[in-house]
Amino acid sequence: MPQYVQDRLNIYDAILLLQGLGNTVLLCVAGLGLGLVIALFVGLARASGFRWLSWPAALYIEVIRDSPLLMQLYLVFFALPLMGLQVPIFVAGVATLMVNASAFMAEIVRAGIQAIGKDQWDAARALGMGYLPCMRHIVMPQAARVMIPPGVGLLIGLIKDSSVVSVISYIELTRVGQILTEKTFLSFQVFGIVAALYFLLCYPLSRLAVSAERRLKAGG
Amino acid sequence: MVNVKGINKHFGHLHVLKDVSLDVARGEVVVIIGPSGSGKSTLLRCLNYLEPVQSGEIRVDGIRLDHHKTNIRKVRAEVGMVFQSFNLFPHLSVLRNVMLAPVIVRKRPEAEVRREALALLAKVGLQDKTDVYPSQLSGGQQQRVAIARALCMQPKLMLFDEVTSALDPELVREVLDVMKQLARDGMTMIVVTHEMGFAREVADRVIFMDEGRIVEQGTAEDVFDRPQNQRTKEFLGKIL
Repeated sequence: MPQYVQDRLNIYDAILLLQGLGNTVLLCVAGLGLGLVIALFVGLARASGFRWLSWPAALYIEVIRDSPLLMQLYLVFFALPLMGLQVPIFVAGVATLMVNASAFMAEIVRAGIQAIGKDQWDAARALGMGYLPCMRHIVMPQAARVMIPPGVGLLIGLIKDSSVVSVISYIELTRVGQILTEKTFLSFQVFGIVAALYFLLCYPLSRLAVSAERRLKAGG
Repeated sequence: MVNVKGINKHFGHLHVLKDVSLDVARGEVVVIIGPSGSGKSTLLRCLNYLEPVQSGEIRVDGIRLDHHKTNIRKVRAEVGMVFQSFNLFPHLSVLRNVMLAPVIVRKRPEAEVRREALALLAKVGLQDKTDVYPSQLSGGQQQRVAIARALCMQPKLMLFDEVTSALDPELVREVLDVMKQLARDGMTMIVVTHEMGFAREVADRVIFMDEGRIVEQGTAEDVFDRPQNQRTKEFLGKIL
């Protein structure tokens, strides 16, 4: 066995794993958080019924949804610099996740809004409510119930897909796993731990969704 | 209170309102009857501009609805509407259903609105249902909540769009009783309904519509007992 190969994981490796975990959390919170905000507006535009709003929104959604996440990452990180726009690794990762989350989530937002019947709009408008108060007090609270299960599914999927950012050498969880495996050859243990850490990130989100759904259901 | 002058309304190729004119005085109770598809519900929905019209003029309390300077939301706030299918907000409690619009549209203080909402719910006989959700109520109870919700905006005019048509027969009366009380209190009301007994009892005027036109109008006795128009006679013959 060559000298530089360790035969076990040490405390520094554990710290590196935690750093990787932290970076994955950072990447996801920033990327998915921004993505959700954009999704709200794209989804509202998509559902608006105004062609000059809904068509651009539809184009955005389709272009993003129908191309691979990895290619989008390559485009941001490798192609933009060719046009003179150097993007730091972290920003490239966040931007890619943001764009992806926003496109998929926008469709969920649209479906949620359109699941609320015209009778609710009629009632709200007859009471003198405008578009925004109606969205905020009538449509969105009801749409949330429809949006939560697919929305959380999407977020969990994207948290795991954030591992593709390892290809541009951002030191997130998966990249740490690769580094440690190269150093120790303990692939099974290392990737087992990495997978478990992803599970720890995603599972609470699942539980949160279940309880949120239950709470929203309380209102008949 | 309401002045409608020669309005026309099309849904695509369908001409649903043909040159309809109608004046309703303050405090008047007008009942509109007619076969389905005659345009009576559409006329009602035009009166608070839930449906735009293609030509003609509608004034509510002197304000022209289709004028570009008119804030239509302000007009709607003065016009209460009750729907056939109740249209309560399912995610809000009964009390919140009633309180929502006065608080966020009228911007009235919550405590004051709560007092009024509770009083209105008591008036429609639902004082013990304030904290339940609409899905836990019967149709008749839901419709009474819907009436309280509209009244809490302190409207000058109330529109009722076949509000008992979706109810089980034994629940119709409790809703009609609330409406009769409202009529006695002097509310201006335009009521689309098939309840001829209600029309006889409270209507100042009965209007018969057919194929998008007002065919005949008069007191309940005139229209029901001495109809002049052939189509009115046929319609009444079918339902009475």
